[in-house]
Amino acid sequence: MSAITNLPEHRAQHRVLLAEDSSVIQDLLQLVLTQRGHIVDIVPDGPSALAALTSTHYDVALIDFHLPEMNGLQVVFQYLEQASILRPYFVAITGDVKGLLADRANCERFDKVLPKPLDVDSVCDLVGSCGAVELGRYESEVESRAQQNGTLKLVHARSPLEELDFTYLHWPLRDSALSDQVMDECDAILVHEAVDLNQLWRLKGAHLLPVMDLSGDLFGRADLNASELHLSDIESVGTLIEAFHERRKQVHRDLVTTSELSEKLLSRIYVSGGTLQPHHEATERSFIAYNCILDPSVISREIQALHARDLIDLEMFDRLHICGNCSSSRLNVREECPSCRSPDLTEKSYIHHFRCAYQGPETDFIDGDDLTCPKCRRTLNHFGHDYDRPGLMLTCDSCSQTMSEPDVGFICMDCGTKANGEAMATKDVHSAQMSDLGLKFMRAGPMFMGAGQRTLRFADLPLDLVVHLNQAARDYNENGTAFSLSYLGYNFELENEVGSRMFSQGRTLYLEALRQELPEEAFVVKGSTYDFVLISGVTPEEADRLLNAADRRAAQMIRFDLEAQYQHFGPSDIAS
Amino acid sequence: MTSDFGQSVDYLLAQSIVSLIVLYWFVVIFEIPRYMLGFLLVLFVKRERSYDENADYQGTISVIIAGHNEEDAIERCVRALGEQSRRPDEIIVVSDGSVDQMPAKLRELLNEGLIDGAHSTELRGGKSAGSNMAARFATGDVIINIDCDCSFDRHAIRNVVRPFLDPEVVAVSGNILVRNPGVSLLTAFQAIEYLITISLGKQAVDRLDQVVCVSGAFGAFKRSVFEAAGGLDAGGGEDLDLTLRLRQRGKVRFVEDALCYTDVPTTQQVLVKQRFRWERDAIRLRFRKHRHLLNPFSSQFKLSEAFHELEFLLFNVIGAAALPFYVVWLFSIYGSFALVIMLSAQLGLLVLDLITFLLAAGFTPKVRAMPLLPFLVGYSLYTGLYMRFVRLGAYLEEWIFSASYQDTYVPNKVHRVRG
Repeated sequence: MSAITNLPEHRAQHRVLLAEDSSVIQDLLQLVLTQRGHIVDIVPDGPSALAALTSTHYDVALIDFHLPEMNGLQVVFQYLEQASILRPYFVAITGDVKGLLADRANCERFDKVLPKPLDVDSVCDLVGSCGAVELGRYESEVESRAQQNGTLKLVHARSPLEELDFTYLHWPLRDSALSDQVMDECDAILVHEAVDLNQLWRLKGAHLLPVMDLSGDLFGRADLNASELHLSDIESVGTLIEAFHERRKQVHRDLVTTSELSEKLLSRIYVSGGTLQPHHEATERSFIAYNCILDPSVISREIQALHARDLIDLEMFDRLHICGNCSSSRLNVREECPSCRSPDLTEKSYIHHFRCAYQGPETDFIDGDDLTCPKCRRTLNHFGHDYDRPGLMLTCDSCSQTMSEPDVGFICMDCGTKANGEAMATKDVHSAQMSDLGLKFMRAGPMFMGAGQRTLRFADLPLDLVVHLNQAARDYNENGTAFSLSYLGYNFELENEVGSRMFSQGRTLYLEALRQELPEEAFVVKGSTYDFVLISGVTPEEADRLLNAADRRAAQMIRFDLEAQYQHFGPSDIAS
Repeated sequence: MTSDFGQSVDYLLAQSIVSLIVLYWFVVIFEIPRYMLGFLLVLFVKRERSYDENADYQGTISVIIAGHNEEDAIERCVRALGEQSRRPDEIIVVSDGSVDQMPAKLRELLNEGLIDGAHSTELRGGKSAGSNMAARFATGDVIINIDCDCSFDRHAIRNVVRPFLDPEVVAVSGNILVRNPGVSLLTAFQAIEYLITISLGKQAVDRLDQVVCVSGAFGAFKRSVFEAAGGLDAGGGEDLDLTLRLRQRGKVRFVEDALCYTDVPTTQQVLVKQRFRWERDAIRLRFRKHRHLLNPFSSQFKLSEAFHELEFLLFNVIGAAALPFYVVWLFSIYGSFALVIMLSAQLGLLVLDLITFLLAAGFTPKVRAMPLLPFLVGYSLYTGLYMRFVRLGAYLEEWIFSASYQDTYVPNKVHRVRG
């Protein structure tokens, strides 16, 4: 059948209720969710939502907070009053997160909150990954969350930081409903307790926030040690937050919402000042920590990947030995006997008696206070004339072996594995700096990387495009009419050269010219970062030819070259 | 000249036997007995074997190697020892004050388990001190002392220890052949020389129990006796010195089928320097340090020891010293005939050399001697004239200047106090 309905088998199919009064969002979500094989029912207001919930069993309910007649919270509240054993997984959709959270007692009845504008990718991920919830779990969850918060408050007295006029993301999360929000509205992460820090990296946008450590356990890994903060340091908090904020503004939107770890790390390096600096850290098995809360082993893997893409430059920081058994670098290094591996070694001189050529350990010569040659029985009197000490030998007091040099042995302090020096593997640790390419990538986003990095992100699409796309997809499913969606990216460096007004005018002019050069059925629309061309009835290959020809002619009509780049997606790309 | 030549040939052909002996007295005294002795011994004297030649020695074997800056050679040498049909039970190596990477190389070999003991000194003590130290840590019944720039036949170790089946044997010398005969004329001559003087010569004297030098390049010693004798004394010529001392304690044998190959000097300069050293050390050891062997009133005096001392004195020392007198005498009496007389003597010697060479080739296992045959003509001159003058120079230098005490072969600190 068509590529659109040809779905990956591992994905669960869910029945989804969408309670939403905006037809654009209805269209959009229905398009993307049905493409993923879910069954979507749409209701426009509160009472019909409640009716649908009680009459049909749903796995997931996406409910707008501000619904006509009855708001989303009321719908959920009333439903739970009469619910059966299984209830849907409740997701609130709202542009007014604060308004929803204001009702502290009830907002926790939602399992998740998704802020508007919607990130379509995360809606799809969410719907794909969750299902109906057993009733009863919800109550105990609410209780345990409350208890957790209570404990936190008991353990940690409020930090002076919290008095400042900043919005913080508190870790561990005080409100798990927040966990999928883009952290746009937060200024910094306050770590109360250094647990599950890798989880923090799953939150969209959290990687771009400065980390302030109230626990005192993060040492150099946090951007600020707030556990011993003095009043005089408060200014530096503001400076830090401001610096992150400034750099965050320059990060391309795609990289703020990205879920790819290496891109997150790269953005983090950028917003934290451009350098990922390792330091020695005895509490880590790897003996290394970075100025970043991600696990050091994950970091070292990811920076190699980024380096392979030339996005960062590496500089050698240290070479560490690693245990072959457990990969720990916490090792004791010692001199030991090559034959029995005992460290119980004693150093002795060799003595060379010149006259008779006897040469052996000093103990052969010791005769009371004298040195007597065991071969010729002469007494050695005159150092340098009768004899000398040409070197040192070692005796193992454990096995009596003699040697001129000991072995170097390693013992792992974590698992106790012994190994000798030559058998030890080593690992190089690097610091990382943004490369020129990396800096461009930060500003221009994944589009900059060209066709090799093709990913389609619905979140960026203007709504009228989504509606057209929906129509095109329907045509495709019903009649098999192909379509092609093309992203247009530009050389944003030009914006600095020609000024943003000129650039924006040029872009508008270019789009207008393009529209005239393209066939009638082409739908050209201006986006924020990208512009888009949707042409129905053509394959991406044909669209490429059409756009190349149109681009040549359109480019002649503006005064500077925008260096437009195209990326084309067909029905099969959109389905996957 | 032609007429001179014709006349001198006529003159020679007209001589009686007695007048020929008078004419060629040098050859009659210094060359013929030596050749004859060799022929007769090898061909007609049966070698007494005090042990079963088909049995193998069952004791343990320690190989000791002392080297100075032998970073490159040592690994090849040690790995080659692993190829022996009778592998040594223990290999102990001493780096004698090496300034290259030899100590590090020894550590590697030790870690690989290829050697059993590695000792490195910071200051060079000389070959004797190095070998003694290696022997000090050896535990085998037999110690085999080798140079690490030599290579060995596959059965060299099995064969060299076999004479220890006879409990009276205290030391055994291996056979040494030249590994680089094709490099220059000099190396070809030395190859013939080693074949005749060592391979054949020692087989001959072994029949008379007259092996007096267990070569430092490849010799085996009963460890208990080696230790009792105090090991090597401060060098050089320490191999000759030790053998002379060990001969007081038991039998010393030579085994021609325990083959060791060595590179000989390729240039005249190095060769002369080497021979000066050998001859000087021989003089110093035989007639200074061990002069008691010639003293009939000494408690250590034995006919067997006096024999090789006198043999050396007569054939090596007096033979070299008499040569200039013979040449002068010849020219003063016979004038222009002298050249032809010497030439004819050389021709006669060439015949003897040819017989000896063929004998040596026949009595040396595994050797490819025939390619050396064309060099035999020059060899007669090399050994009869050239080497005699080299020897003479060395003896004079030692006698007058005690030059062996300045040798760089041993460190200065040792020279100052050595006996």
